[in-house]
Amino acid sequence: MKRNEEKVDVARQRSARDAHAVVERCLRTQLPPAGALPAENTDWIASGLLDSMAHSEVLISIEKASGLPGVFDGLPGGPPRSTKAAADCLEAVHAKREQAKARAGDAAPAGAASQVAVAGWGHCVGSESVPAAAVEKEHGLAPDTILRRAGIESVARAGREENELDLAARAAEAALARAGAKASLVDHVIVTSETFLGLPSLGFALHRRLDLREDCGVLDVGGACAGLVNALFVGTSILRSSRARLALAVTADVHGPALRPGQVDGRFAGLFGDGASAFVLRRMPRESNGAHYSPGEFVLGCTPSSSPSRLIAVSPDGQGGVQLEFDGDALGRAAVRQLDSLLRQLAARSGCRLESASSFATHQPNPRLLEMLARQSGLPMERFPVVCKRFGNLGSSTAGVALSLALEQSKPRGSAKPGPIFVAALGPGLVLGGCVLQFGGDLLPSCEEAGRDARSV
Amino acid sequence: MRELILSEITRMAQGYCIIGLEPQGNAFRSVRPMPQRSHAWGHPWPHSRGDRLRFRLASLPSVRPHVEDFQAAGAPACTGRVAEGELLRCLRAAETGRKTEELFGSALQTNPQGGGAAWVNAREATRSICGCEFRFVRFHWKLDRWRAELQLTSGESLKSLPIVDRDWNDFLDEAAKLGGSQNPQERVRSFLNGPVAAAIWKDENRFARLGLARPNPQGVCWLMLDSLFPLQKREWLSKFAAGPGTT
Repeated sequence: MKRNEEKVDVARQRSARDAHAVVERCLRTQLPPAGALPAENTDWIASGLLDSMAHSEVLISIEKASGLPGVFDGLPGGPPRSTKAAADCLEAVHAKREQAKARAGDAAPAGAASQVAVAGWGHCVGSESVPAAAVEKEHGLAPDTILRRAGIESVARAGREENELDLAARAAEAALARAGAKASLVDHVIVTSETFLGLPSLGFALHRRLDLREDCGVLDVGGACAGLVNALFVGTSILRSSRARLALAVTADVHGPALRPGQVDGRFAGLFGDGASAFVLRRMPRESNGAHYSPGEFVLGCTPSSSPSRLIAVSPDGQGGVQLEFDGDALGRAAVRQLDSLLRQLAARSGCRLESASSFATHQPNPRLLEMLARQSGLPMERFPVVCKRFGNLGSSTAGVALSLALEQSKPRGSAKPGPIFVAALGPGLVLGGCVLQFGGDLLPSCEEAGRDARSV
Repeated sequence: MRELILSEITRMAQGYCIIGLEPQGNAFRSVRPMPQRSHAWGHPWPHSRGDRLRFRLASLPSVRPHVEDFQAAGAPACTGRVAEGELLRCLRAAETGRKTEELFGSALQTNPQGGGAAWVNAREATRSICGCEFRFVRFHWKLDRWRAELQLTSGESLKSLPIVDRDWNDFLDEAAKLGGSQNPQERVRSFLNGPVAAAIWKDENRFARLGLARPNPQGVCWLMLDSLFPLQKREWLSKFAAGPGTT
């Protein structure tokens, strides 16, 4: 009980600092760039700092950034009009949540699990590496279109005999091996692919290929390039809310057959490569403090009514290929803007500062856009594991391969824990998804040991 | 004396802002008569949308984007009235835009992290009122007011337009009274986005007039929903009052 109270105190202090920072950051969006921030009790409207519309915009952006939609609606004294009032309001809600969490912790039965660890990871890309010049030639593009404009040096293509299932199985086997887990321990497999069109689904095929148990659930989820986050979210949610112990989240994309030269604009089709990634998620006992990354806050969303929805549309052309409408430049700008916003939302919700991150595993349409994102977000480029430069845009597997590389690189150094990993991706729509993986503490018990009773579920 | 067809009556903090249409050849232009020393006419404003009003108007120095401003001497006299259909015909022959950039002669801006309210830069905008056809409308209550999301026929969306139209606001106030004591906004929102949005969708005359607020110190002029056609209907409220299942 005492431990929970201490936790609440620490969380309260942190949330007070965060609340002020969020309010001031959002307020600044409506002030002149060089203007000073007002004193914390200054009435924004009475002082002439904001008009009523700008006031609403500031409050809505605070709600979004803090992950508390509607927090300012229906307040007895009306919406807050000063930095202090807004921050106090956020803080009060955070404090209530922390207390509720602590109460729930006290009341939870022994052994009730709530933590999920990323116990293993792996990835693979298509076995053929095709240089940008060759891609430009086969698509009839001007020299340097792919290399210079997009910054892609080569793309990884699945070989003649390779398909989504082959790549997915390879990545999954690598992830299971790293986790020290047998395939027979997997309780759920969640698969996403933006290219697989067959029936039965890719999830079914992977279940069979890996020889998973008959009572292992199979879920195929969508989201295209944002599919990885959807798969991680579903896997994490299953583990947090059921008796299942082990979930496998897999991405696999092979673009070649749908994006044949001559079929689709080469400036689009030429950007894509093939790859897969896989992550073993394992439920941990509540008090476990294992040396592992845990998915914490997820942010999922969609911007269906804003203009980005019109920037890309892909549909079957009736001849086995696809027809495509897209406005590359506008889509790129929208993607960078939304990814930057997503990273900030994740930071606000998780309380992890972007500067403290060890890596950013984001979707990467191409290296130029990745550089733009790093610039716009003010983040060092070296913290983005670059996937698209050598492999191309791998669809849902872009963020997956980036996350696999990030996990590989983010190891404890001496007594210092590695920083959080921010995962952020978006797909056509725009459909958005992101999460923050935070590092725990001590040693991770083996999967064999932890999964011993999984078969009885 | 100049005769205007009253097309907009919008709620402001201290009263009402009004706009009328003045014939100009085969077309119409928007004129915003303002009383002495104020932008707004006080309560009560006795006239209705569609009234033909005769004003004594004097020009004001043209300050972009509110180039429609005129000084009115005294109260107007009412000489008649046009029906909703005729008013709409006149509005379609006044200032209109199909795409967002055509509305006020400059690009609209929004804060990606904000609530979706749009604004234009006062120095770039060339007018402060414009009509547009739209595909659909949705309503939501946020913080302290009703807002509308419009999708224009160009496919572009204006996500959060504060509704300042007096008649629609009166209608929403009445609906809120009928919404019950527990979270009335939620019930009204369902009503608006259900039967009301459906009725608007079925109507061929989907037309909105968007206005610009006066520039704030940063030179930002926010977009507002000044008029929404088809106009609100009393029978919608009767159905709402009768409860679920009858709308």
